[in-house]
Amino acid sequence: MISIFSKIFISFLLAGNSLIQVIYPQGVLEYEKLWQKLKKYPGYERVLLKSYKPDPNKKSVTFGPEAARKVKSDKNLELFTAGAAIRSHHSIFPRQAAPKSWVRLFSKLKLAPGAVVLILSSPRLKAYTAKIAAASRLRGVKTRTVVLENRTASFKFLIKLYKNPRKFNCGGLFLAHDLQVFSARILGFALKIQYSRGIPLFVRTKHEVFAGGFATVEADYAISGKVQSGSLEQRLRLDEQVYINSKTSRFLLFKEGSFKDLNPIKVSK
Amino acid sequence: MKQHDAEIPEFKSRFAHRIFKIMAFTALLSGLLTGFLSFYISYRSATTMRVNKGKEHLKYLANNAETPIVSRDNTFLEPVFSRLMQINVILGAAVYNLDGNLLFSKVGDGYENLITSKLNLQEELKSDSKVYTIKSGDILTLVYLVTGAKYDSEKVAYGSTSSLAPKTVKLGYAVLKLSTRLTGEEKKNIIGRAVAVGLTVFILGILFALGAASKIIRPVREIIKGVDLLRNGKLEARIKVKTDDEMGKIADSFNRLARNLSRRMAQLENWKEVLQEKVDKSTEKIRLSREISNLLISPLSLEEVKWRTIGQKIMQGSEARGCIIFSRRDAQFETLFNLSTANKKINLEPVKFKGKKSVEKILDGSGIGLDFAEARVSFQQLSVLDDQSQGQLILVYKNNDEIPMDFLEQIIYALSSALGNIDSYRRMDQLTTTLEQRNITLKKQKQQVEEASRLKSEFFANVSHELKTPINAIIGYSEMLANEYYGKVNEEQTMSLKAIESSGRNLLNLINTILDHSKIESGKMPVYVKEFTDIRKQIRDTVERNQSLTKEKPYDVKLELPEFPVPCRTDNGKLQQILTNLLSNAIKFTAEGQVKAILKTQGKYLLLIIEDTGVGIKEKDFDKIFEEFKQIDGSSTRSAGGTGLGLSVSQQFARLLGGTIEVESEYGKGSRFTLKILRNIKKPGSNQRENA
Repeated sequence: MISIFSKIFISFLLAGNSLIQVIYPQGVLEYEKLWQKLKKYPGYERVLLKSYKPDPNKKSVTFGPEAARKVKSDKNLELFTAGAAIRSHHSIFPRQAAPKSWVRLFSKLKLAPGAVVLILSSPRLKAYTAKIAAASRLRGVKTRTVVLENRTASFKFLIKLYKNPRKFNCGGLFLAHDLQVFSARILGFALKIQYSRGIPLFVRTKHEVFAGGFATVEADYAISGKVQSGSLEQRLRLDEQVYINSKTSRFLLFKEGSFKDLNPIKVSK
Repeated sequence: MKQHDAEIPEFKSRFAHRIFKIMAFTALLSGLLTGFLSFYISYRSATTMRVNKGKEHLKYLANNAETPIVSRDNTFLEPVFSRLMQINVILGAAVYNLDGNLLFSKVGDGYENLITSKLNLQEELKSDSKVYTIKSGDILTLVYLVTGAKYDSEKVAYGSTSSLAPKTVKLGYAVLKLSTRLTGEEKKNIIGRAVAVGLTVFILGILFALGAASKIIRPVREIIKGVDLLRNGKLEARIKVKTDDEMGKIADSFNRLARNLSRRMAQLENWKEVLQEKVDKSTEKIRLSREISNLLISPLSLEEVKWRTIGQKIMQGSEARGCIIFSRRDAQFETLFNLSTANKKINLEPVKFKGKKSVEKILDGSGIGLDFAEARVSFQQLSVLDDQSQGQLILVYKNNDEIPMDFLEQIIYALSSALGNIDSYRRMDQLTTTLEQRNITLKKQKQQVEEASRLKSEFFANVSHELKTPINAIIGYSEMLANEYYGKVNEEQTMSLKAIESSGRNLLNLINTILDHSKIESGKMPVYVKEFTDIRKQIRDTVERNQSLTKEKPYDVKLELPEFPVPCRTDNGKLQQILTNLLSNAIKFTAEGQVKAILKTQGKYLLLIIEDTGVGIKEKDFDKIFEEFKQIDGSSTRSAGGTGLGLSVSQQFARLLGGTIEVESEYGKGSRFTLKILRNIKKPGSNQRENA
């Protein structure tokens, strides 16, 4: 009872200009899920991106790159983006798995001699992918990082890879979590490479695994702590989970149980 | 019958061919039409198929153009291009971005300039997704919008609250260039198909035509067979066609016709014998009438005609029992022939015709010297003209005999003409004799008149010439006396001397005129032709000289000349004399008003017109004024004087100068005399007059 009253009291105190705007585009499943969790806490209001009006005095939280790009205020926390913040003055709680989690997954690949895991990175995720590369090196997994500036460069590179996979000696393909560079169309083409050239594709989310990607280590947001206490950044955490697409796995001739120790969730779509 | 003989074989040999030809022609037309239709449909379907195939290829290109447009990389497009370019009707393929800028292209050899770097499309084309066609000559351009499915990257990565529907976005344009010109093989196929279809229809048509012609011709042949038999005289021939159609009706009609023909032929045979007899008789009569006509053509007198032979032939042709021919000369009848079949003369006299050409009487045969009782006598008047009888022909028959009028008409006409000719010849002979005698008399009289005229002219010429010498002396001396060469004379004497001089000059003019007239009449008037560079001067001088004639008149003679020189080759003396005559006449008969002389040229003629406002001349007198010694009005002449020779002499001079004088006048208002002479007389002395 006390908590309910205190929640009402805090909401009353924070009513008006003191509410934190939660800004995200409509129709995205994970965003809705997080909002459903977040709205239980007082002090937040949902603003759909299409009806968002900039207000530099208001604090905000944005879900995903599109909302982050549109909100210019410096009192903004970026969620559902990885690497560096989309706007440099924004705070960010990156949605990215620990590099060693990826390396554990890479290590399950039976790479041919000289073969490498090709890490496709972007300027914003350069640092993060560098950590993955460094961690891989420690585990004896060879990687090669290619930083691509934009979607066209990504396409061109993937076409080169498609045309001549032997030149790159690619044993796995990692797409960095930058939706501005590696869009859905790039993902589609990368899937085409996976199926036509037999190169396992490591994707960014479980939904991309549903779409046909080989595997991912998804770091999903979770909110911990009591309702009233602390800021959102303090209470947010990431829960990692490995997802494997069973059909793709079989297509790529991975044996059953190869990833057992990673305790993966198998997706058979 | 002759007409049928000529037509039936032609009909028989051509009818089947004609039917066959009509049907074969129809088959040919059908074949050609079907072939053409086949060609047209094949051509259209080939073209349409080509366009449809092109559209399919274009869509194939567009489906494969998404990645190349997005990536600006043609790796995935090259095999598509290569595959398309293997299709021979595709001349080129290209992919453009949304702004119409060329991204990738491939063209066939020889079509390097076919693809442009910029695609110019109408605005409305951009908003639709169907295939657009642009035709330019033999090249068809197909344009198709390249679209792509765009997924929301965030929804893909983080899931969607609803089904994941992509957005369709426009990426660019796929373009194909097709040749609409059919290839040789396609043409061969189309033409071959058209020919095969046309030929098949034609052959089927011909087969049908053969069958139909055979079916149609069978009853016709039966009919022709029957007609042939009938033509060959087998009137019992009948046609065995037992159908209810038109052929059956024709056969039935033919059979009825054949039956009627058999019956009619029998009647005709009888008629033929009767007619043959009549024809023989008619032929004999024609021969006789021709012989009679021949006997009557040549002779010019009654004595030369063989009346006996003619009479016998008339009796033979007319089948008469007796015949008498009379001729009539000077109201008296003369018997030329009289004979009966009993070689006796018939006792009959000519009858009087009252408005008729023939009279028929029944008389007692014995009474007129014949050996039968009742005689039928036909009196025929022989006359070319109704009012002039040349004679009579009397033919005697028995009462019941038939008179062959057609033969008689010919004979009567021949006899009348012969008797008329003989009479006319006799009269003409008499007239010729009379005329010859008259001619001789007239010739004598003419010679006498000509001699008298010549003597008169010579007399006038001689007398006039002899008169001129003393008259000149009278004029000269009277003038010298008046001018006081021989001393002073008083006023009364001067007036007398002037009167002597004036009368002398008038007399001299009269004598000169008479002399000219005499010379002209005796053919001794010479023509002195001289060349003038400008005849205007001579005309002006002549008019000026004659101005003195108007000294007692209230006017001067006006002169109108051309503005340009008038070269001329003529006899100036005669021209001046004509002008003087015309002017003096005009002044003489014009009391007041004006006299005008006008010189004009008209082609090769020179016109000299003298107009006056004098008393004028009546139209009935126009011809008289040029006659010698004629003066139209006694009273005016008396007041004006003159011999009546002036205009006559002028007209004669005008003729010598190759021209004439024409007059126009209105009585009481004035006259206009026009001298029209040749500008260039070629031969002096000859008659230069030409008809204008």
